[in-house]
This record gives sequence, structure tokens and C-alpha cells, in this order.
Amino acid sequence: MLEKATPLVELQHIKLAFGGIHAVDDVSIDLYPGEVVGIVGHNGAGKSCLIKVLSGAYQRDEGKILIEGKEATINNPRDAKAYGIETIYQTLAVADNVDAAANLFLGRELKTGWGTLDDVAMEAETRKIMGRLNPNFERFKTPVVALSGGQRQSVAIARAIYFNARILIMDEPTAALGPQETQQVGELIRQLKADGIGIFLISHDIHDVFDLSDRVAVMKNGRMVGTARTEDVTKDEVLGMIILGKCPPAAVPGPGAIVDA
Amino acid sequence: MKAILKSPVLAPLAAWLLVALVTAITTPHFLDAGNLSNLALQVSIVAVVAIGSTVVIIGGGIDLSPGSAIALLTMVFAIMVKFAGIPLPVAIVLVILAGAGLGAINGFLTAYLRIPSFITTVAALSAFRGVAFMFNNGSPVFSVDPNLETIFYGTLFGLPLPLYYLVALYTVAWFAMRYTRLGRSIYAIGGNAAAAMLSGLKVKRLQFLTFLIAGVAAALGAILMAARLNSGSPNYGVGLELSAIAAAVIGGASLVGGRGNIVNTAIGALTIVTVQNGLNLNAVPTSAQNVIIGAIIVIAVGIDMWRVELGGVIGALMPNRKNK
Repeated sequence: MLEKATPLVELQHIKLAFGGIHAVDDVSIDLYPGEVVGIVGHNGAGKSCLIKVLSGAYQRDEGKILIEGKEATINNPRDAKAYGIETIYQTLAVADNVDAAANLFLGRELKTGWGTLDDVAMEAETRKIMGRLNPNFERFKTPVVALSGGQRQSVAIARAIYFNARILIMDEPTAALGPQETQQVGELIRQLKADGIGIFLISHDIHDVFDLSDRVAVMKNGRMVGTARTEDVTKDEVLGMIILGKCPPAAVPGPGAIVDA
Repeated sequence: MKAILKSPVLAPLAAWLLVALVTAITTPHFLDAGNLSNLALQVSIVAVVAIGSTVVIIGGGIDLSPGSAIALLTMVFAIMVKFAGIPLPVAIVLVILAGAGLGAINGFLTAYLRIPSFITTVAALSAFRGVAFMFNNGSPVFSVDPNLETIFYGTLFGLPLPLYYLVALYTVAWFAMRYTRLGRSIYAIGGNAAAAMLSGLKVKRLQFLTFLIAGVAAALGAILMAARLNSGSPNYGVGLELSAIAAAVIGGASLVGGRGNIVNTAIGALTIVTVQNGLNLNAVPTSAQNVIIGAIIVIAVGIDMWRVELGGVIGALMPNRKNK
């Protein structure tokens, strides 16, 4: 059913090279509202590079990005944010030396009528959203360097969803987290999905991906092996895609698939 | 109030009081009115320049050029006023613009051409002073304008004018760093430039701006310097960059970026100038003074770098340096 609507995002024939290395080679992928697409692959498969093209951190060499069917100009992170694309990076891109509220509103600070920073309002908003994401979070005045991995992660997530993201990119969102926090992130993803947000979930953890994604896209050596509905394929088949680049019958093969006789 | 007791101003203030106390004990003349006013004049120049140094350091850079920029700018100022007959107010504005221009050179090379600021500003340290010597055959320009002294070093309500200038400049700088998006952004790029970029901040432009601000601060320092001696000279400001950086670091600014406090820098400036003054009064030769200033900078930076290891001790002694 979903496929009949206009995709929220379409990446078409994206290419990105560093020197002679093709980090992303002719990759196409799409994402629908309320859908979670898991992007999996080995280290160096090009997953992070692909999503960094969408988040504006890297500029693509070739290819098109369509947002709701219209071609989008994304040359830097500001452009991406203007389209409602928010990213939670693997490296937890937070400014360590300032507190949660300063991070949440970094570059988009709330201001008073005088044009000065409205710290009171920013802290109140931060308390509100953190109350939803991580009710145990209390260290609002502490530079985030002093927070635990999970707390820092919730700051990064809060920042991504506070500004009404329509498209959320999560790069290894649970890599730095303990089991309980991982579960929280899972619940959060389901909640955001229900709100109609489209999510690209990049992960090493194939269990996470099967648990949370509607579709899975497999990359290998910078190329797309194929995409499949998670309900149509088994974990072993997906592992085969990741390791061998072999596309099972239930998947839609990409340019990177090995077609065997 | 508890907030005052926990205020980050306390530790540098205590350090200054200690230095002042030691100086007052070791020399009979420290508290003489003449010496105190001399101290105030010296502080004003270092403190003004240190605003720029602090902003650059918070933004994750370093500026080694203000001493030479001051030499060049006092020459430009003196020549404009004395030889070109440009009226004082116009000359002051032009010097500030020239300072912004020098800062813009550092900022452009550092932010846009990605040359580390240590290199760009050490090159500027050499080049700016070189240019200063190109004016007036490398000779100082004396007797610039008799009004300079009254404009910049007169008194108002019994207090020296530089004090008012300092309070005004520090209020603006403190406010900008604490309550504006610009200030918050400078802290963010100094803390984690990559994260700031991914958050959508224009990191290069912000870095550029920190050096521009430092250039303006150097220009204000140059005007105060030229006014105090009613002259311009290519030999002014030698070593001033180190005093300004020391002021920032004593005030708690971290050379790795992202941390620092404008108000504390004023106290840091007071401390470093008091040390110099005390050494002068005790007839310590300049050569030894330079060694001592160098040692103070190393120790102040060391305290910052060893913060984690020294955590407990420093935490107890200097609450503002506590990390957690």
C-alpha cells in the first residue's frame, strides 16, 4: 500500500568518491512516511557515507535527492535541516563543553524579545522533551562531556526530534548504549514512526534492524546489493546479502547484486 | 548567596590577591598612588587586548600577533594624526578598521585556507612588526596630539578614564559571549568544531570572526598605547601577546578551546600585570622577568591540561576548574 504514495525521500543514483575510492557507487534508495528503512552492511560498505550525503555533511558527486517528489538542493547540514532532515550521528555529534539545552538548540537558539539567548525557555523546553525521552535525565546544567553514553545519546535524539523532523537518520543509534537504553531507543523509534516520520536506521546489529525496520537495504563495497521487506526475508538471507552480495528472490536487486545462474 | 560563593570569579581573584599581597610585602612602594595608577594604565592595555585573545582561545584558536599588530597600528595612528592631519575621531575609527583588517588576514588564512592559527599568527607576529618598521623609516613618531592624554587618560568623578573604557568593553564582551547566539556558537566551535558544523553552524565564518574581534581588540589596545605615550613606535607591544594569552589562561580559558570566561580574563590581566609590576619594583632584570612570565604561562596551561589528574586537588582549590 505504502508504495503508492509519494516517497518522502528518494536518493537516485548517488555517487560519492574520495580520490579514486568509490565510497558510494550508483546507489538508489527511497523512504516513505512512517517507514523505517534499515541500511546494513559491513564496515566500509558506504552506509555512513550515503546518509551523510542526505544529511549534507558530504556533497555528492552525482545523483539526485528528491524530497516528496521534488528535487532538493542539499549542500550542507543547514540545507538538510531546512528540509526537516535531522541526523543522529554514530559519533554523537554533540558539543561536549556546553550543557544539554545549549546542544539541543545549537545554531537555532531561542531568543528573548531583546534578541538575547533565552536560557530559561531553552532549559524549560529541554526539560519537557527529555521528560518524554529519558525521564531519569536530571543533569541539565552539566556540560555533556560529563554525561554517560546513554544520556548523551538522548541529548542527540532530543535535538533531532525537537525541531519537527520529518526524516530522521540514525547512524548506529544504539552502539554506545546499554541494553535498557537500547530498548528505550527502540520504543522511541516506534513512537516516531507512528507520528509519520520516516527513519533511515543504520546499524551493524541485524537483530535491531529486523526488530525495527519495515524494509532493509544492504550495501557492499559502496554499492546497493538490494532491498527487501523485512517480513519477506530471513536473517540468513540478509547475511548472505551482506557477506556475499547475493540477492535472495524476495528482494529487489540493486546494481551491486551478484546475479548467479 | 551560594551562587556568589561558587562563582568562577573567585579563584582568579584569590590568585590575584595573593600576588598583590606578596608584592605589597616585598616592596614598600607597591601601594603608592603613583604606582597604583601606573599599574592601572598597564592593566588597561593588556586587558583590552586579552578580550580578543580570550575570544580566539574559546573558539579553539590562538592569536600570537596582537603585540606586533599594536606596533603597526600605533604607527598608522600616529602618522594619520600627525602627518596626514586626519582628525582624531576619524583616525580612531580608521585604526579600528585597520585592526579589523589585520584580524581578517589571520582569520582568512586560518578559517578559509585551513592553516593552523598558531602558524598564521606567528607569521603575522613577524610580518606585522616588519610592516610597522616600513613607516617613517622605522623611526617612532613622537608628540602626536596633545589631546590624546586628556581623552584617554583623564579622570571622571575621580577615577581614571581607562577604567570606564575597560568596564564598558568588558561588559559588552561578557554580554556577547554569555547572552548572544554568536557567543554561544563560539563556545560550540571551540568545544567540537565537527559537531558544530553538523549542527548547522557556519564554523569557518565564526572562526574568522574570532580573529576579526581580536584584531579590533588589538586596535583598541594600540589606541590606548599611542595615547599613553603620545607616540607611535614599531617597537611597542613586544611580548604583549604573551601577557594577553597569560591573562586569558590565568582566567581559566582552555587552550584546547571551548572554555573560558571574559570576566576572569580581566582578573587574569590584573594578575599578570601585578606580577610584572612587582618584579619591576623589586628590580628584577627584564631578562629574568621574561623567564618568569614564560614559566607562569606554562604552569597556568599545565594546570588546565592536568585538570583531570589533579581533579581532586584543583577542584578543592579552584572550584571553577572542576569538570564534573
